Formats: sequence, C-alpha cells, structure tokens
Amino acid sequence: MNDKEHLLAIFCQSVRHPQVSGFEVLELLDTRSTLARREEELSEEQRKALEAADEVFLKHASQLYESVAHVANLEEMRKRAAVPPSHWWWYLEKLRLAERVAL
Amino acid sequence: MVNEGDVQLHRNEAAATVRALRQRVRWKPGKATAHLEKRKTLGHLSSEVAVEDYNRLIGDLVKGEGHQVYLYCFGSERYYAMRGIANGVEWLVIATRAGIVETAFPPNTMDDYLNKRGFILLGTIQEVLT
Repeated sequence: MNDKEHLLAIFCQSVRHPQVSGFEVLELLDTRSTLARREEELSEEQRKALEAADEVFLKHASQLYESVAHVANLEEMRKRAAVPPSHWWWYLEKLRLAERVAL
Repeated sequence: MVNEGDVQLHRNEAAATVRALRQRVRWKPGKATAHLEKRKTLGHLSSEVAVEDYNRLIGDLVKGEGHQVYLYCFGSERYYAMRGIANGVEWLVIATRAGIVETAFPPNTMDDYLNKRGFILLGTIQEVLT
C-alpha cells in the first residue's frame, strides 16, 4: 500500500470513530487536507471511496465537532494550520448547524 | 501562551502525570475499548491485542526516560503528551493533568501534528522527573 492509499484507508476508517478523541479528529482533518492536496492523483475508484467517506463524515459532523470542541478551538486550529476556505471539513461548527437545519 | 515563570509548574504537573501513568493507565469510563477498536481498525494494533496490551504499550511509552514531554493548553485545561517509539512506530500519548489518558495513537506526521496544535516541548521524561 502506498502513502496515498494508506491515507485514504486511514480517512475512510477514521470517520467511523467520531467520538474517540478530539485530538484524533484534528488528525482526521489533517488527513483529509492532505488527500485534498493529492486529489488529482486519485483513481476513479479512490475518488468514489473518498466521496463515500465524506458522506460518513458529514453524517457525524455533530459528534466530530463535539469531540474537537472538548480539546480545541476550531477557528484557532484553522489559523494555526493555515487552512484554506475550500477545505470545508475544517468548518465543523458550520456543518453541524447545516445538519440541524436539514433535519 | 505560557510564561517562563510557569515552566516549572508545568514540569511538576507533567512529572505527576508521568508518575500517575507509570503507576496505572487510566481511561475515562468506557473509553479504553473504543480506542482499542479504532487502533485495530486502523491497523495500529493487531486484532488479537487486548486492553491490557494497549495499556502496557502506553505504560512502556511513559517509562522511556528519553521520550519527550509536551504541554498542550486549552482554556483552563492542561494536557501532557509523551512522544516515543514502540515497536518501530512513533506514538503520542495525551493525558490530562490528573493522569487520565485522552488518547494514544501514532500521528501520520508527528512534528507537523504537534506544531500545528501548539504543543510546547517541556523536555525529556527524565528531565521533567528531576
């Protein structure tokens, strides 16, 4: 398994564990950002796997946010990591609000 | 932001955290199993590993005198993190100042992870214990 496949596998599995620790959710967000930077290298099958994992991520947005909020301020973390606005997964506080509106 | 004058306080707290973890690895209720299952799913630990084995790995990491200790502050909360190698993999153990494990996992890129989060290096385990 190469590095790209490894990161994708890690992301796909990690989204299924939203309540383990906010410190690990931050790692999850980093992993997603790394995958975004390498998105052009992904095969069609890998893109589908990433889309499916993103769906799971969105379903767990509230839980992921709660985990992070316990140990970090997301806005500060975004600044520290120089997160671009296009990396939507870093905006969990907004995603969970959107989730509530949808419900 | 940590003042220079607080460094000794944090080293003392870090020492207490290390000693507590060396005595007994403690998790929040019900968390040990959830963490272990994630470690297995991600391939960080093999499928036959039990909570006791996971705790032993954490115990070994906090026994490494040369392993580095970091401080992480969030509001009034302070966490202490121990960074070390076990079975050829670099792990990060993060615990509350009361010595309760928050998590123990191998970040993909350790330095990047610590720098982006604002972890502050306090020294080696040996240094904080003396």
